[in-house]
Amino acid sequence: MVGIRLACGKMILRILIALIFLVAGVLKLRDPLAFSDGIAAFQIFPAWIINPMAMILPYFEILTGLGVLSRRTRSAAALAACGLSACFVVLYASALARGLDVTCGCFGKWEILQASTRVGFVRAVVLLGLSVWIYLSRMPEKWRDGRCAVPR
Amino acid sequence: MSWVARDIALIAAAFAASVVLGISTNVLRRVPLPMLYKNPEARVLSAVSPAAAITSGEPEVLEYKVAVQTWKASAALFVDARNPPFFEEGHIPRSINLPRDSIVQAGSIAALADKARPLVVYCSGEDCDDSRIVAKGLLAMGYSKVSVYSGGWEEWSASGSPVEK
Repeated sequence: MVGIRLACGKMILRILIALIFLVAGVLKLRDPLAFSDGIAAFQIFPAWIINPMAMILPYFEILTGLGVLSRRTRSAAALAACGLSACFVVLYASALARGLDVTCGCFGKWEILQASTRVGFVRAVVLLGLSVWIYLSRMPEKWRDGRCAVPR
Repeated sequence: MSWVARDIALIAAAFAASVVLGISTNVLRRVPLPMLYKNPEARVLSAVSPAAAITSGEPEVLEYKVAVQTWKASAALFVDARNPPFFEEGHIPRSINLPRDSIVQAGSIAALADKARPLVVYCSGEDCDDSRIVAKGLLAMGYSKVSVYSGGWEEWSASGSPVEK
């Protein structure tokens, strides 16, 4: 019973992480200009890399989100989520240290999802924690056929 | 192959796919992103005039009292530089909406036909730079009397001045 609850909890977390990356990726695709301004606001990247990042990163986030949902690609996608989240944490920590007020453009122009640098940092740390937990936690074999296990 | 190597290979494949998708879909966009990033001010100035960075000066900055007097006397046209959803939520009465990325359309707006007409540009508030960027763009386009109301929408609405929705 405890095993099934844990499996359900893990599945919900995976869906949550997948949704975060999918929503963030799709919203960035809708407004790449706002995202490139968001990247530039960190004042850390040279001009030649900002727009290519704004073109490529949304697709990488979408693929990461989709990958977390698939059993075959889950481990790699969780590792990618760890890498992305770690980058966000470093970027926000750097912005905080330099006293920059940045909105990353993580969610396009959706003002309601924008956040101050401090809130963005906390959000990135939480996302990193969840991603690491999902990557490190291997679902034991005996729970794989439980009610919440993702079908092979 | 160990599972870590398999994960890294999958990530590399996803990244390669993202590069192909990102660059190919950007080409298909109505307005593709250029490969080299330009900040909003440089974008606006290069859109209105190639020599704008040299020719445009800094706009005059108005405090709240002066902005209100100007508005009450209808001595200037107020220009809201925020994005349309924010303009639609509320704006200074009788103002027009001209976001920074639409500045090239200024010439087609009837209210902006007279380049000698005094203009007061505002955006969200003190932290927002769009009013200054739009004002500089308008100066570069040949509008001669352009100023910025620095307090913007936050100060105007908080002070109980009239608003329009």
